[in-house]
Amino acid sequence: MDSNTQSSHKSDGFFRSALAFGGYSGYAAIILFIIGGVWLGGMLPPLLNASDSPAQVVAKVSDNLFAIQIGSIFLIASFALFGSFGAGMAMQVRRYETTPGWSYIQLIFTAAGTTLALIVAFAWALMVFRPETYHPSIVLMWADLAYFIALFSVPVFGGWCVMVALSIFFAEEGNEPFPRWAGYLNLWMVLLFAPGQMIMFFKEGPFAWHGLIAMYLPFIAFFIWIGVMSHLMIKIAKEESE
Amino acid sequence: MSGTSRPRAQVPGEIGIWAFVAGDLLVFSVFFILIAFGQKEMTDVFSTSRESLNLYFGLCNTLLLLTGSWFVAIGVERCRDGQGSDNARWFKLAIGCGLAFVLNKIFEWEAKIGAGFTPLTNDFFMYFFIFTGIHLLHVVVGVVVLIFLLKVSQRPTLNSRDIRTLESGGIFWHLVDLLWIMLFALLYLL
Amino acid sequence: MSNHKMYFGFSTMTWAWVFLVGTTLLAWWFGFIDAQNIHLATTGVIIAGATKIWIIGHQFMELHRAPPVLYYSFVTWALGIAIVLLTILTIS
Repeated sequence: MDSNTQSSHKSDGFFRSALAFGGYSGYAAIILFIIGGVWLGGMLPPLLNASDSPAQVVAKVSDNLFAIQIGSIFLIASFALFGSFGAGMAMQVRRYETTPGWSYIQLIFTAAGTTLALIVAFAWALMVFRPETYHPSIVLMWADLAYFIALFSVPVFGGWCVMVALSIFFAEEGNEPFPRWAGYLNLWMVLLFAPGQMIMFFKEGPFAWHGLIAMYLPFIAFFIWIGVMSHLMIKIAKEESE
Repeated sequence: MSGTSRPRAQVPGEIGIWAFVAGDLLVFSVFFILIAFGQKEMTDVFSTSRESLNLYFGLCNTLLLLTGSWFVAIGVERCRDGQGSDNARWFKLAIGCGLAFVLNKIFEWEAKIGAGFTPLTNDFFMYFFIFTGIHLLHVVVGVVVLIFLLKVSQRPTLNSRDIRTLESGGIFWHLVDLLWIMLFALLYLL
Repeated sequence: MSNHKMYFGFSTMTWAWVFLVGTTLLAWWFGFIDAQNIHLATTGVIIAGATKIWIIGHQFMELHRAPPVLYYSFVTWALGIAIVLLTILTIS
């Protein structure tokens, strides 16, 4: 038995519990976002508009204050789970390495993405902490900050997907951490996130931070990505326990 | 050459790259439709703005990509059939076409911005800059892919996995070409 | 083994390129002609584009040797996008 290749593929129950947890974290993150971002928080579909005046922003958030406040708690919970989700993907890749490589790169992108997402949730929370006290343009800035961190960060979240894709494509033939189609899916995700970089230039229309192409598309694609990769992690954990 | 050519249907590259192509075509189809709606609803703005575009830049870019695709197609075919002495040169030529495209695009954008046209000028220029910009990103990625294919083509022997890599990478490059054909038609020629 | 048929000394790949470049230059030349019927001009541009796309798929992307499902999906898309675009552009 070649100790180099065989031992790094072994998975025991302890490992599989972690991998499955990574997958379920992803599912939980999606559900928590639907509650906190879609239903309560007004993040998607956007309650606010990039061309709203500061006064309009204050008015809109004040009208929905409590819902958004509760929503921001669900958002924090959702985004914190990006950490275990990402670590799950990295640990699966780690099994296919003798010396850590791509898994290390993925862990860093996981850390960066998770931290950024958490700041998004903090900004959203501060937006509704005391809008009556802050200068209205500061309330607007929290909204800008939240969307900018979420959307303008294409090299981070898109980069994360690229690292997952590369770890699949550079793997040995037939011995990949995730199926090859998942590699191509990850690359497609980068394309879907890319319009988010445009929000710098527009305050109206489909490329503004409330827009169809620059906001809806990346957000929805991102959570679909989490869903698919989570499904794969859970599937792998289950298959190997048989 | 060994073997006779049996017409056995075989997926060029691998099915994964075609899934990616499908995804990319889906996204760009939305872009094409947006341009068409813009043309329909704001015909005057679009037609006037289009006149500010320099057709020679667009034409040059189209010819560069078409020729680059031709080089890639030849290179992949020669590598697969094991004929030809320096197959790497086809990829070098294609990379040249890709880089020339990028340069040409930069000159074109500089000229436009210098003349006062930006993505904020009107909807035509918004679509023009953003969609050709996203396409330009594809070209840049495509050049990186071509560099990788160049390295593969220089290996002393190519196994079936190498051929699959060459074909898949080539298919991505042809996708980049294909997307430009429609963008060129919608933005420059209408 | 594919594409070894030669027509007048040129491979099908090369002929594809010649046709593509030719169509492009032709479309450019058409631009100088005052389009009597704007709808006709529009239709010509879109159909030419779709045709070039088909050639790229069929020849360069080698869909001619692909399983029919893949090839015809591609053709369906090319045709479909042409029809959709033409509908938007010409039907008022």
